[in-house]
Amino acid sequence: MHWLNKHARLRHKLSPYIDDQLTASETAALEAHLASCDACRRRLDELRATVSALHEQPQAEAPRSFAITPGMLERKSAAAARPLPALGLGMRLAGASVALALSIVVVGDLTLGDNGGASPQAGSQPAEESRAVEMFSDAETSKSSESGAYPPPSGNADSSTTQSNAGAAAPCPPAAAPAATGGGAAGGAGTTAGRGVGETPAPSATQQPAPSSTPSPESPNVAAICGNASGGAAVPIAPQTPENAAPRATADNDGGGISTLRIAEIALAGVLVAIVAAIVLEAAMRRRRIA
Amino acid sequence: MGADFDEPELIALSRRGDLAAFNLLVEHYQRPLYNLCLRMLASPEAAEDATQEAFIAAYRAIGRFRGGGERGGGAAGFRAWLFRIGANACYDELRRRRARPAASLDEPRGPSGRVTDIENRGPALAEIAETAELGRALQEALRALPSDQRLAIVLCDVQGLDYSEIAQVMGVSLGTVKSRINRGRSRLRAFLLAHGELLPSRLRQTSGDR
Repeated sequence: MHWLNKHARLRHKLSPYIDDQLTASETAALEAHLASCDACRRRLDELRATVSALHEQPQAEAPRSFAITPGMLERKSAAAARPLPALGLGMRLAGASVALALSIVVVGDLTLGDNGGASPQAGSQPAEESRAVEMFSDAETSKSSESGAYPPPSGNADSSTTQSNAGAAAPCPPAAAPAATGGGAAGGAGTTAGRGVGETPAPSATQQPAPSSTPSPESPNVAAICGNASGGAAVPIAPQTPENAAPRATADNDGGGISTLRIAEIALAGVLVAIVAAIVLEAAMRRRRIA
Repeated sequence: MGADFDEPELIALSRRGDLAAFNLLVEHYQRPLYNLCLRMLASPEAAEDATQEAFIAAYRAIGRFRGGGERGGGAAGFRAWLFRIGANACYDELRRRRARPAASLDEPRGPSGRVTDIENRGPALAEIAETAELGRALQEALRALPSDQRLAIVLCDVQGLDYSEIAQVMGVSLGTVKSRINRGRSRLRAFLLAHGELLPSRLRQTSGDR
């Protein structure tokens, strides 16, 4: 038993022994064992034969010169850049979809479930909006998605979005939850492709005018959420906007088509989850390279 | 390693965007790097692409290379850095190529050799045995290794790097290098024994376990 253990243990030292990687005492112990163990000695010979066969392999000649030409750099940079626009486009589409879905979800929530006692703060809205826009551009340059206040993307966060939206009891949590989800999405992608992150906000900016022309409140909401989503530390804003937007939404809406909205809302939340999952997946796949 | 080859100087020039200086480095390292890729990918065309890709990536990244200023350490540092980029290019190619994980030597193997079926090309083991070509047998054996072990073996036993430089290339600890080399050699040995290739007949009587 003892001998077997020793035998197995020393066998792992044959390879480093060939390369002189053992300490003096390890070498002495191994050599003592080899002197008394035919199997290990034979194994050592076999390993040595394998190694020397590898050593003796002729090196191939380089088939051509690999010298770099300036043209090669241009061409290769175009080739290397190709995958990124693909992601950029994906991110752009995803960003637009997220912004659209979020705005509709938020409208739905505000329409459905607002009994909340938030007091109107109409005067603060423009200020809020400009702050959100500032954050937005900050987030664009910072790109530090890991430092976001929200946890990394997870299925749980997504499903909680769905639940809280469906419940729609208070205006605050639903708006905050999508923000967290969006932050997760951009966070996941942002770690791999800096360029993609930079591009994300653009579509949401184009998305903004459309909702803001119909009812008023989503514009700041979307801006805040997207500012959040692109990785900034928009923590203080996210909780404030709902209070801000909720009263106005109720004022503007007559509450018709509630069940339709509810269904649409759930469906959109589902779409949102799918998009986020797709982004995270894509990002994860891209990250799989040894660094 | 000509007397005129001043690597630290060439690196310094390259960092300032001197493409001609960098191309002297390319000229110096293209053969070993190409051979590394060739062993990793077992395909001359893929190795050629990976080598070129690696040099271009290296040129772009050389501003971030932190090598030693003095000759000895700087040279080793640069080679390890370059090989690391080359290994990455190979891993990228392998990932693109691979539909399923490399077959293990523990899998059943007979004259028809499932182990060779990793890629649906290349000679069958029986054919190898017939031609009794040590080089091809070794190439087959290397291909059957997990890529980490293959890289360690190629760096150590084909390219002749020492353990610490291999650790630099692979970005792992010395202990991991030691273990990968150990496991890789064990598998190669088993493969070559099993196929009656290479080893003198006196070594071919099986050594018991494994």
